[in-house]
Amino acid sequence: MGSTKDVDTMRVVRIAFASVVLLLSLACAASPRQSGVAGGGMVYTPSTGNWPLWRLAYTGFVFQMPGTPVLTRSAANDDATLTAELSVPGPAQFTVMATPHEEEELADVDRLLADSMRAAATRLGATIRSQRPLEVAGYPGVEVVIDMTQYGATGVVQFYVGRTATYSASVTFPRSAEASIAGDARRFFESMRLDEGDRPDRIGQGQLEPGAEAWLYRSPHAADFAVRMPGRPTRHALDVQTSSGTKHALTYAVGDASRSYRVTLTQYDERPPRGQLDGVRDMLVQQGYRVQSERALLVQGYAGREVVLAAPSGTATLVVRLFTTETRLYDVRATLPTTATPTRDPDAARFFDSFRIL
Amino acid sequence: MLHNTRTLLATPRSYALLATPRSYALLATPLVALLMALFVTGPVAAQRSPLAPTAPSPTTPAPATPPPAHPEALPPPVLAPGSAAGATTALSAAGFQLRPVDRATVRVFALTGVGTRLAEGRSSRQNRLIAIARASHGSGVVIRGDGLILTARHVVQSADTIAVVFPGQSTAVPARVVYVDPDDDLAFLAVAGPVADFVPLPDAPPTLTASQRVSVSGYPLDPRERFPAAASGDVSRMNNDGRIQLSISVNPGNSGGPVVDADGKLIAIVSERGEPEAGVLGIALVEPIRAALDDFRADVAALPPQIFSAADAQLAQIVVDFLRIDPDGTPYDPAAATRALAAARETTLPPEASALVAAHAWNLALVLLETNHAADWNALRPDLRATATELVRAALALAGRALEQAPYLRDHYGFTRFLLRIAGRAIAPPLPPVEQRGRLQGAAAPMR
Repeated sequence: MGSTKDVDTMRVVRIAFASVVLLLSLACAASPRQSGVAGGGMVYTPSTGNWPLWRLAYTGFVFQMPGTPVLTRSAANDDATLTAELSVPGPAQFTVMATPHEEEELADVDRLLADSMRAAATRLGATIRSQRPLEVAGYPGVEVVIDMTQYGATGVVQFYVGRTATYSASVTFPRSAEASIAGDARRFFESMRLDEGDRPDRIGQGQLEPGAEAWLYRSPHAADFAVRMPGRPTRHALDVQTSSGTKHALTYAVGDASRSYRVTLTQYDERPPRGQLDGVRDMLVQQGYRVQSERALLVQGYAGREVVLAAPSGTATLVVRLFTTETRLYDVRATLPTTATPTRDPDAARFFDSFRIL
Repeated sequence: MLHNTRTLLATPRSYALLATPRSYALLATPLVALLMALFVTGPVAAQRSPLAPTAPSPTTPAPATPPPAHPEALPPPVLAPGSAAGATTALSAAGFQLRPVDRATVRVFALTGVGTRLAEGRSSRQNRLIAIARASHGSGVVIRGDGLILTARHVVQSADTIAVVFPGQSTAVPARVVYVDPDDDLAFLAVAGPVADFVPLPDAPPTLTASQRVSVSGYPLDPRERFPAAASGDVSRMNNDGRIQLSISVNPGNSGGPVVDADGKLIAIVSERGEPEAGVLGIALVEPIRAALDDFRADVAALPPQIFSAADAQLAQIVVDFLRIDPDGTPYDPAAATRALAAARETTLPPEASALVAAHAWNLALVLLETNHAADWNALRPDLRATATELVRAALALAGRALEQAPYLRDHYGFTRFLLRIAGRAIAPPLPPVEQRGRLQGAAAPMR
């Protein structure tokens, strides 16, 4: 796993590149050379009748366009993830695109998309007229309206960020056609559909949500685990000191003052060293926790251990389950009020029993 | 030589786990090859009949161990699971004998997920979406008559479903991990007993001597081979990490297999081999039996026996069938497969198991197409079409159920979401295309 800085840099570069490609295509589409009509004086005739419904194969991206799209850029791999750009050229250009990305590139995606778009627009002499966050079928995204003064054109771009790919839809048109294209642009954007197969798990505020229906599976990006948590977890990156040096760790947590659920994964270069499970327990004991019980565990063939401890304050019980994989240590823990019996608490069972290493 | 030695000393990771659940490239190559033999991605195999023997080609890697020229010459698997006696007797009649340790050496299949691959059907020439196992296979040794098996940890780590096949058998039995050593590459499995052939753990760890002659038993390479393979070598040294280095040639699939001394006593479990890409050949790293003895005495000996259901048994067999679909597509009776799948469909399965059954049903349906030179379901004979329809229905229903119960399966069991996205169509859309369909409503309506 690279450092956070590395990931951020990669992410900015890639999305900025995609943005540049997109903007270039927008500029070309709006240019007089492409349209064959004198720039600035173009007339857009709103379409009538039904628009065909399309779907990018092997994705859950479904959309309508006012014509048959032309594949303008593509790549694919064995796992059927693809980069594809489809356009309906004309006086106004309608484009959709899917670009795969790495899961770890998804932290704080709203800010990243907006910043990247702004940077690319600045470089191309475009200005962002407006920008608003949006969400389509649980996919976070952003809509940006861009003025390209040198081309006399305007672009509206929507990005939807999935777990494995970023999907985008855009319409560019001569500024003079802005009024006449408005209806078709709205129809185009409103047709966007994304299925749940690539819906990302969003980082939340870590608040406990009431009701059994809040206990959804959470499988954060690149964390390689799944667990049911009663709310969208927060995500914190930290460096931890271990017997084999400083290691990078990620923590996902929901909870409040009386009850919390947390998964921490610590990344090692090789298998966590012998005695690492003892080390975690001993550290808690040094902090004043008192061991109440301890037992060995198994999850999918991974060795683990459960330790139940009384908090130093005497007001909480800590249940910790630790699992080692070839390069990771998973620390799965629940803090429960002392009134709860760890072995019988239904919410604790829901949390611990659902934990899977992916 | 100096370079090789230096490389070995300087790069202690120049060993490869012999069965790595996630990194299945080496191990799964034969598994993929079996299924891929029905499919081609280029013109090389286009001239072959789907019933022709598989031959190596740039696009269709052959199993590293060629299949026997006359498979029917091997003794038929007619025994109850857990006993190799009849099969090995028949083997003896054919002029070959197994040692006691070979009779106690089992094959271990571990499934960790199901991915996808697009390929062109060899006979149909149509684009197919096929389910590809993310799996490993290794070896293990029965150490107690109640079905306790010792193997390597990395063989079973991250497995969702484990199946064990006894020597000479074609049928599989379900297995469950009962203990994993947190530090050493060792794990204990349980299958339903009693088991006739086993090699007990020694009372005390033996003292090994440099240059001592030892041998291993296991199931390297081709997952269709029904009997273990033996290999011999010498004890080289004890490494700094406490493992024993042997001068012995082992291969993917040997992991977890027993190492015995000249008297047939269990002395170690195979863990890693030399990495040919790094120039390391003829070396095996093994876990000495001392750690297994400690685990056994402290944590394993008193464990209660495991209970397995009929559904567990069905699932184990489906794992093995899924991994070993024959390139000729002939050994499986479609009707029997449909019955087994229907039974699985009626059972409340964990989501991972539902995804597995869906994948197997789908692949069997594709086998029906390719072995009958049919492009689409409608091109099959009515009776076969009915079978295929049932298989596809089962696949879609189970894939949908699995994803609904466990959305996290979309990654390691990515097959499920791709199957749903192509809505069970026999001819998969090419990549990268767009698809158009007349209506969003009615998922069953074909998208043209």
